[in-house]
Amino acid sequence: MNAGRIALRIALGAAVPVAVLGVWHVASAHSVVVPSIGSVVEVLAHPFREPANLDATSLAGGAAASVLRVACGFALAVVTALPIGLLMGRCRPVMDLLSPAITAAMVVSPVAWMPVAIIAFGLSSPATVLHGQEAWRYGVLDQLRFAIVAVVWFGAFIPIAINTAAGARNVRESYIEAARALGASRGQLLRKVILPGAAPAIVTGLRLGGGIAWRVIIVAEIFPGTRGGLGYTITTAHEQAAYEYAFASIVVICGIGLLLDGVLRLAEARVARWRPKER
Amino acid sequence: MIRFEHVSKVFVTPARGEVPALADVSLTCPPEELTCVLGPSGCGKTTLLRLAAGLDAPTSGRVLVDGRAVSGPPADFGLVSQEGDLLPWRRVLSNVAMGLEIRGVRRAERKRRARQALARLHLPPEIARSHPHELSGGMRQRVALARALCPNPRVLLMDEPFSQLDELTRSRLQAELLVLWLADRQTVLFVTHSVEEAVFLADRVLVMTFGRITRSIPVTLPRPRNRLSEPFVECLLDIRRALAPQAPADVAAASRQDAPRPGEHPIAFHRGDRP
Amino acid sequence: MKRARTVVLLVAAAVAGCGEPERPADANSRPPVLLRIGHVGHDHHLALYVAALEGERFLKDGGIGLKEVKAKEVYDLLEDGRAVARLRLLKVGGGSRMPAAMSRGEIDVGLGGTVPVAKFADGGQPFKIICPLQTDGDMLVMREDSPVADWAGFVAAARSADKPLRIGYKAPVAVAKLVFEGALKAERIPYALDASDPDTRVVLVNFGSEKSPLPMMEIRAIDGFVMNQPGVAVAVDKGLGKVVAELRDLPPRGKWVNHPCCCVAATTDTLAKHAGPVKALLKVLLLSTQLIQQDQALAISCASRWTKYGLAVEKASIPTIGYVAEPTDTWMAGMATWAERVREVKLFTGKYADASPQQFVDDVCDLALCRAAAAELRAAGKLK
Repeated sequence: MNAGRIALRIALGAAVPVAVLGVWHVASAHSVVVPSIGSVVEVLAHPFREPANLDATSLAGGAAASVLRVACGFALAVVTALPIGLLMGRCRPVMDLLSPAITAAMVVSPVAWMPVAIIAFGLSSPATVLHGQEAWRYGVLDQLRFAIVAVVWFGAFIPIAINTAAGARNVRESYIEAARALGASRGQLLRKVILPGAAPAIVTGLRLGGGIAWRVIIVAEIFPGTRGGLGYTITTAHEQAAYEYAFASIVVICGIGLLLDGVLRLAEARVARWRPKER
Repeated sequence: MIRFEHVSKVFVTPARGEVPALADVSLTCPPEELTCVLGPSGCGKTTLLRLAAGLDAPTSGRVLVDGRAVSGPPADFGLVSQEGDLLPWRRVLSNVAMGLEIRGVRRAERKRRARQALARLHLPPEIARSHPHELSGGMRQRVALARALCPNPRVLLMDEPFSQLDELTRSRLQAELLVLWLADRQTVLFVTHSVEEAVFLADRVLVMTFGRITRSIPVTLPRPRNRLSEPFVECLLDIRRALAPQAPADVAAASRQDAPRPGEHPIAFHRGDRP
Repeated sequence: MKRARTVVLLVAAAVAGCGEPERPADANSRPPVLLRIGHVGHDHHLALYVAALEGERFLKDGGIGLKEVKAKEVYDLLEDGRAVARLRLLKVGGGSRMPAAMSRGEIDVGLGGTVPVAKFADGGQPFKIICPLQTDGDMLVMREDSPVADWAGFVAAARSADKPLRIGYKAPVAVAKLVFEGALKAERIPYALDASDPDTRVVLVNFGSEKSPLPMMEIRAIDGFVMNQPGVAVAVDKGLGKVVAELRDLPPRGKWVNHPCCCVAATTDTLAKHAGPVKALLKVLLLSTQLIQQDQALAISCASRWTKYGLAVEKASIPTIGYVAEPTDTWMAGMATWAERVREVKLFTGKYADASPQQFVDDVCDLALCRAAAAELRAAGKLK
């Protein structure tokens, strides 16, 4: 590839972001609601600074809270969806039992369940459960509001379970028989054949679930009683007309989302290494 | 020793209803002998092998190993399928060692014995770290064979293991298999559709068609067998003659009797001596 | 597999360890009662924030005040050297959010709008309004370039314009909306929630209580809005609107003056079990409100420090809000006006559906503790 080609690829890749920045710049010049690029960069450059014109934590603090909530919800989803998905994929009655419910739940945005989650969990968190009235001392644990984690869990659970089930079901029967012929017990079949065989589908499910979890957290944090988190920052920024924080939060959200997706794509590629490439 | 006593197997499929795969099959695989099951595709020989391997159960009749009914894959059986079925996410060495892994053998010991198995199959040691999809078809089947042999099974079940390979590779692998078997003397049940392969390998050829064993033909040629020698060719022709189609009237009668599936040619046989 | 397990255990330990307490809990100094107080976070509830920020001053002057334990979240309520209660402040939001949180048992005492609290009480929740917080503090704002300069101008514009005027509101039961609708009725200007009827002169547009009216103002989706402070001050500060009329001045003349906006509410359960601490809290709010009335500059600075709204915004906002913590006659009359207004729009469908205004006010308010608190403070010479 010669220098001209490389330059062209770079130019194409940069075209859209540059256009977006251009539109943004023009818009911000005529608008109060759209903050200037400079003000947003200023906020991004000082992620640990507490905002002077906004009743919220620093950008880094907000990001940490959101990431923590997503991590917990996602981890819970993985731990629950993997066994259930495997069971669904290998055991017909379980599939028949759960499939209608999951298919129905699939089309509902997880955020629609937020009011239900609030009624079920209120403002409770691991801190309130463990420490009751002293819960406020345990900042981090208190941030993990059950209602929010539940909504994230719900969003991530479904794609992980569905993909795991599909992966488990589609493991080639002949591999399983080869292992059986070698004397594998049911447990060994699961660990040595079904799980590795379903791994590419599972990782795809993780990628989808992770994406949904991250998208959900922002909206889930709008709901009352939460303090901290990028969703909270965005809502409060709108209320207090501190729009540069809203935009800066969005940039951070995009960045983290890209990072998360990138990591999971890497995992996907690695796991699917043994698949013969289509010619 | 493997015995089938009046074994029938009927499959129920949503598309075609009841499909009889095996009908009243009785046979014996004598220990330390290589028995071949010969027949066209769809005659039920794969089903036969699967029942012997304990991967499926008969609808009626009994499958016995050493006098006891089979209820799941017996411990000292080795299986080589048509496609090899190496686990694609495992490297070659890991695949070969899999039988030992399942039995709980420790890693160092496993790897040593797996490398030994690879050497016996004349496989270069470098492929130990390759993945199956990086190998040629012939090498893959060798690895599959190595995997089956690694735990030193007493019985070897083989389902057309070389049928996907080209003729030259096939001949070579047949010869190698024979060398290994002559050293180990497992009881072998070998399924094939190639008459030549059957004559080259077997002590006894069981001819199968439409789910029944129709002929049992001993092959007494001394080993190693020369494919070009007269006795070999004679035996080949004998069997071919025995398989030859009958007069048209008999063919029509036979085809009305056992409605064959589309694509098969209705070959009728002498109802000869049963084993 | 083993390595993964170790990693997971380490992470779990780290997260659990993250729950390091800010300060080790001291068994001796822990006050007997925890009161969870819900609030909205802007200057309508300034009485609470001034009390929190000026706790030292109140303790020194009058022996009763708030002592900070965790900034903006936890304060100890001290009276005569004794910790009477620990207050946990929770920013639950405005409008219906506060009574909803109280109905779920997340807070014991709530600061919020009188009408939403009454609506929940109407629905069967055991809520009582125990103390006023403030009155007025809401306006009609029109776009910067609008020819409308006052209410008369607005009425004229509404009557003569070829397209109906679109005015935004925060929520269906918002105080500002109720006053505005009452005024439109008094002026006999037909209004509706959409423009389907060709006679409609004013269309009310819900801009949602999460969002603010500013984006819609900027793109001219609405011609103006009615809203409480400090939202009004923010709009003016950003140059997106100008105040055209204070809602207290709207017709019928005098009806809306000192209309009650936010109040302090509590469950009957809390009142029964924790009357003492609640009374102490009301005393603090009374003193705090007095300080706001006396020292506006301090009030403005406290508001800006707590809510993080700019000083300019608070300077414009606070003088327009009537901070009152005692149930004066005017306030009681204002509550009665609410009852009438709410009946007109048929807001109550439960307990208060057929109640007369007086019955409603008597039932939903429980001002005994407030009056007692004021009396005690007066006796001690701390309250004027």
